[in-house]
Amino acid sequence: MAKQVDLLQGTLEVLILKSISLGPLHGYGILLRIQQLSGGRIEIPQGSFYVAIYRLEHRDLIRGEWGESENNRRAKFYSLTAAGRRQLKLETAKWGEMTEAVNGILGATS
Amino acid sequence: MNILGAIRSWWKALVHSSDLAGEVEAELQFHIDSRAQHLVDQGLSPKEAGRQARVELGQPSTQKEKYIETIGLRPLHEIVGDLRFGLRSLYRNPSISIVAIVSLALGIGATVTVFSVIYDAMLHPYPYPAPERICQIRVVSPGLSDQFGYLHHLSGGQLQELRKVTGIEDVIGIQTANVVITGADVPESVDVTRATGNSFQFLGIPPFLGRMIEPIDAPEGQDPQSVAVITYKFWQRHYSGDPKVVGKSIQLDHQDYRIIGVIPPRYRWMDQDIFLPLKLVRGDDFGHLVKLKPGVTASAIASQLTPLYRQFQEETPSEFPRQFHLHVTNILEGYAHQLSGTLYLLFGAVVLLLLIGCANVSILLLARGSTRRHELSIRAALGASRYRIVRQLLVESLLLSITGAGLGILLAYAAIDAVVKRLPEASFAPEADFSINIPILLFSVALGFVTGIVFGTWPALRLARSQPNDVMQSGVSRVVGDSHGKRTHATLIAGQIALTLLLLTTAATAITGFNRLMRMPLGFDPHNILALRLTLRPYTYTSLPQRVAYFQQIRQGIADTPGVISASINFFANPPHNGGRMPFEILGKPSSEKPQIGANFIDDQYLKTLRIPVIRGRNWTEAELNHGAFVVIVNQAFARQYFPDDDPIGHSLRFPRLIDPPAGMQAAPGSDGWLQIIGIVGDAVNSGLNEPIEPAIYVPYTLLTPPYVQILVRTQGPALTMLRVIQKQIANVNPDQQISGRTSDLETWIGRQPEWQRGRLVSILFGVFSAIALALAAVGLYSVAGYRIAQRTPEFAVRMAFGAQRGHLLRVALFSSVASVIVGLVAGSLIIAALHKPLAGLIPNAVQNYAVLTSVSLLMLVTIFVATFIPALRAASNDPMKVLRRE
Repeated sequence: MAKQVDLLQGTLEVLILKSISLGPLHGYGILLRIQQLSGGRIEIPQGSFYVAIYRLEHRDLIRGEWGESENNRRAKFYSLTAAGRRQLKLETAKWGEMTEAVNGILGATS
Repeated sequence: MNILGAIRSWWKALVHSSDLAGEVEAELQFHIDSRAQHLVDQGLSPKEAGRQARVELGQPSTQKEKYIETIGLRPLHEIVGDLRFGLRSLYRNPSISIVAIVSLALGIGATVTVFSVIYDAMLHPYPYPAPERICQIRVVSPGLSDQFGYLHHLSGGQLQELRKVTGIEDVIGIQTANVVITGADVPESVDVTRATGNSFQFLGIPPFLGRMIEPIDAPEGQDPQSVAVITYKFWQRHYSGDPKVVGKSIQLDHQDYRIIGVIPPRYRWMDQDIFLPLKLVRGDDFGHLVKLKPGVTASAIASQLTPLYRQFQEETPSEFPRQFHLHVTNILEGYAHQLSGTLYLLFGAVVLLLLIGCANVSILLLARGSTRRHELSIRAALGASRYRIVRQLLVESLLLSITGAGLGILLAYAAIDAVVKRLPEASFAPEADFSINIPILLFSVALGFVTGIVFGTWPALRLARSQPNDVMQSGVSRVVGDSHGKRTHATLIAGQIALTLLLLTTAATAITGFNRLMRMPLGFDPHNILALRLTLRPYTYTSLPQRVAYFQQIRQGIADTPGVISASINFFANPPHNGGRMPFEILGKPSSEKPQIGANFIDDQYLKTLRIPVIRGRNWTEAELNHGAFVVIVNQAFARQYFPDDDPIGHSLRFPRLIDPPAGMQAAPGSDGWLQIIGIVGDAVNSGLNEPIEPAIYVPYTLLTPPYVQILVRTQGPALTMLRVIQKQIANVNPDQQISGRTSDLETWIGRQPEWQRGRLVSILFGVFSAIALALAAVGLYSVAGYRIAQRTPEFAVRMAFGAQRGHLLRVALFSSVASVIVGLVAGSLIIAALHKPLAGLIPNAVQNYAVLTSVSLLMLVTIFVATFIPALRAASNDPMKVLRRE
């Protein structure tokens, strides 16, 4: 397994948004999806995971609805709201700019 | 950020709080289970997997708090928690909480009620614009104080002169009369005021319906229009509030008037029924009000008016006293004068009550606070910030203050009507509109809050100065308080005792003053006397013999009624305010100045009916009365003042003005001649219940007879039960004869005198206040003593275990606050001694009385003793072993 990296401040939320952009997921599903997409390189801090979910829901970027899980249990599934979709686009663009700038600095050779 | 999402989650958190907890918990539980399942799949045992998942994710049951914090509701939740804790801690010491709340409620309720009444009755009774500029002019004879000056009526011409004075903006003239509504099935007597056309503009009275009287209704030099404005009261009574009343006509004394408007209910000027436009006639005389120009003072206008009044005096010398000065007062001062002393005294008393209430609250909170240091130290040690502790105490104090103040406000609203109902009838303007005064309400509520907050958070402030460790390591679970806290506490208790003593002494003085007034000998017997007033219809019985014969016939009819002991005719002679003031002179004792004296016009039955004893000489006979003998009777005060050395009987006196009586009165020829004194009677109250009895002369009413008389009837049983029979007797003589004004029995009439009503009101209120104050002080001391002694139970138990006697402990407990009590009583006595002079001026019939102070102090000592003895006894009778085991 590759070496795990710590999550930068504020990136957990954009990862949650990204992970449900393809379809509704419950909390545990989101966790698995992020690990899967990162190839197991990102470890989600368990304590702050739900706090991030609550904050996103409070800001109306995601919406939770109760449904049935794959093993027939009641679970809360989250999906993006319109505002959430806009926010994801915005954050993704910002992230791109940010990494570019940081790479530029770190890659400078003089 | 989308505000809708936020509102949705807040709504859910606040309103569906229990659903939310379940959902958050279920969601996390699902997560844990899924994680555990995952771990089992990786090869862990189910038990180990479940444990690890829980370690990773935490307790589902505490997840709600994370949610609450995330959506920003944590402070709110903490305050709700503080509230809940506050309620619990108030409930834990119910006696202290209840006493504190009740103290605040009573203090605030009483203050707000009494101040509101004072404000509305005295400071702001009138709806008229600029009432401070609307003035009356009093003519004051030398030797009289200003408020005893009389309102001198002026002729139409004189009023016109008055209007020209530079400092005066406007003048109105008024005449009042009792008039009969004719043309209807039943004659009805109504109070009518004729007022000059400018009156309604002058007073700024807007119409309620139609229009008010205007200058055009009474054009100069012409007869006024036959129009009438009716008051709201009359409109309701006579027309049942008929909205179409404007335009209707009403017949008064056989003359038709068209109703043009209704006066709004609040404008109860002179408490009349009907207003008619008035024409200023040269010869007639008129009551009047003047409005000063802005900025003109009353004393300036008095000196401007003096030359004019001197000129009036030259025109009609008989109308004026020889020497006089003018006193101008605005309409606000009259009522203020009557009641001000009383009301200020009461206000002082309620402020004391409020202070006693607040003192109670502070003492109780301090006592409780000093024992909470241990609790607070533990909380501080467990990591509560000072801010959290202060907030906790603040919430508790606010709970207490809000409850107390809320109850106080309710109390004030309930009490104000009760107090207003008991105010003396004529002690406030009929226009006064009583309502709760908001500024004073805010003030007293604020005072209550400040007291609660300052003394409620006191323990937290003291805690900040000490180390939690010290308190906890001292090993004592309850600390009685350090020396500093004790000193504050003792000072407060002493202060409260001093204030209570002051209030009780003042109250006792006021009440004994009223008792003295009640027991004052009247000089006549008011029991079972009916007083009624007969007024002749206009233009009937115009000659003196006819008139006397008619009155005598009615009197005889009443006197012959079974159940009637005697009946008497008089005018100007109904006690307790009697005697028409007239200048007189004594034969052989010429004086440059004719003194005025109260003349009472009576028949031969008056003295017998009122049971006023003839001291020397004799009463006149019926024959002498009927032929108008030139005789008089004087009272003892007269004899003392005018004949200090010799016997007045046989001397003569005369009333020079009797020959020129006011309109409507009939004087016997020669009645202004010398009248011989034939008897001296006992002094009877004649210038009010509170005032010394003045010299008085009794004159046969057949020498001067007005078109109205008073009839006093002594009955065997309760006087009012005879009223119907007596009315029938009068109707037998003349079915058209009206009984005018209010008929009452003399005792009730005297009871309605302002001095009595004021005395009774003051006594009742003071009685109530002092009972409340004493109860508050007693209950406060009891709770504090009980609480403090309860804190010392372990100490007592240890002492007893080491052999201390119960009696000794009882003394220790009892005398723990003896210093406060003594200091309080001494301070209270000193304050009373210092305030005695100003207080005596405010209390009618006050007596310098150390017996009052002594008995009140004794009462307080007994109360304090009982309040501390009960808890002390309880503490001393505990079984020491039980107590120590419990510790």
